[in-house]
Amino acid sequence: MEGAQLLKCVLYTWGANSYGQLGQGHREDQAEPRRADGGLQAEQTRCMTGGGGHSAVITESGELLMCGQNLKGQLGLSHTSEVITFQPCPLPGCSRVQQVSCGWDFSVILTGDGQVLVCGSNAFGQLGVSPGITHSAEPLHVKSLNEPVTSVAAGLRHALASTASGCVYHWGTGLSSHAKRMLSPHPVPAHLSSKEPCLVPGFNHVTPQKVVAGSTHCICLTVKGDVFLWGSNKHGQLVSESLFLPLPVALDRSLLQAERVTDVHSGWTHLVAKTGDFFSGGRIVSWGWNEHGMCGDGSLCDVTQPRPIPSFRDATALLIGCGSGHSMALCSLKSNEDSAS
Amino acid sequence: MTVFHDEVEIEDFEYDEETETYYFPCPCGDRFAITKEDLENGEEVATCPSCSLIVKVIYDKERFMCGEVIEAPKASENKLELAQS
Repeated sequence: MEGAQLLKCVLYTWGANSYGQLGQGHREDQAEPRRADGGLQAEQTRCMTGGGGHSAVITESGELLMCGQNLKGQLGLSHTSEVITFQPCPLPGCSRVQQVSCGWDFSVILTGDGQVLVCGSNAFGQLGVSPGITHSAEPLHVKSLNEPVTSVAAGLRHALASTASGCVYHWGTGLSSHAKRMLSPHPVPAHLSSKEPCLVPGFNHVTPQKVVAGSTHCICLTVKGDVFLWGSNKHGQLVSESLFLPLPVALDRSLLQAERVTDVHSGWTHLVAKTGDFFSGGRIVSWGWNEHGMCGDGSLCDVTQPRPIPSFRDATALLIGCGSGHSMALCSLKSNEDSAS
Repeated sequence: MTVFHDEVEIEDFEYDEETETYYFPCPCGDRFAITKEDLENGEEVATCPSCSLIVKVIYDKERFMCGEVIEAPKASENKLELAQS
């Protein structure tokens, strides 16, 4: 075909890398995107995400690969040694992984049939299983989520799940102490201090598409492209006047040029989002904390409201992902152009 | 004048019995640390060895200086597991 261009898929990672969480085979921080090809075929990548010091990738065939820190067994590999290139995570009895989310030192895995598996630390009830379990290097089933789950999210010490019936659940006590101080003398809502999945009020009139968690904040993206935020706003990550939002509040769409959000991910207190629609392609914007270059604009200065990432000006975003202090994007480039090498 | 990145209650720190140090996650991926001895001396700044961020520790100084240990989730069980594996 005349004018046809070959597309090449390349996986980039950038940001903090003390535990090899960038999957580049070394442990040096990166302030601009660099290739992370070792251990996986980029064309087979379907989604990627990261936690406090670990990263996870799911392939087209539903295989889960992990790398980075593993002290609490958060890589689910049945051992606790560090890994610096992506390694496959075997899950007996599970034929396909639909989604994965990585917290500070734990991981939440959503299987193809809507069940939730967890591994890593349970010191703050973030696994949503028996409090007697301190941590697990083997994935455990969260039995109390007894309807099909559509998406999962893991924060510093809390986790979220959205279900087929349109509910959102929150567990893990990561927000509890801060909520108590901010809301005092009012009581802390149950969903902010539970060690088992607890229903989050406020989603009766919208349909959740996915849930996302930051260090101590929560995000729900609806099917209509609106973003709801709750939790801690100490660093402006909720783009609100309040220091703490106990219940979900919608993000003002005028801050994103009135475009709908098609995907959103969060690190500690930085966010990366894909805006636009099917016809205008995917633009990548980021905002929040940027001390280790995680907003990807080449500087180390905080980005105070959603802004497009300069390196991806001529690229089409396919996928985005975040870890605590690092970010990832899978982009479609022209074959003789590698603008972010 | 120091600028604290955050204020964190001692209950949110994880205690390592071996190093007698309290730890709280740092956004850079390492951990803020403050020793039991520092707390007993009335110190309230936890620092991160990998970056410039610092946090203020919120705790009852009188209780600490009496030698009473505040209950915090212990981070040391995994060391025993590692030794046994």
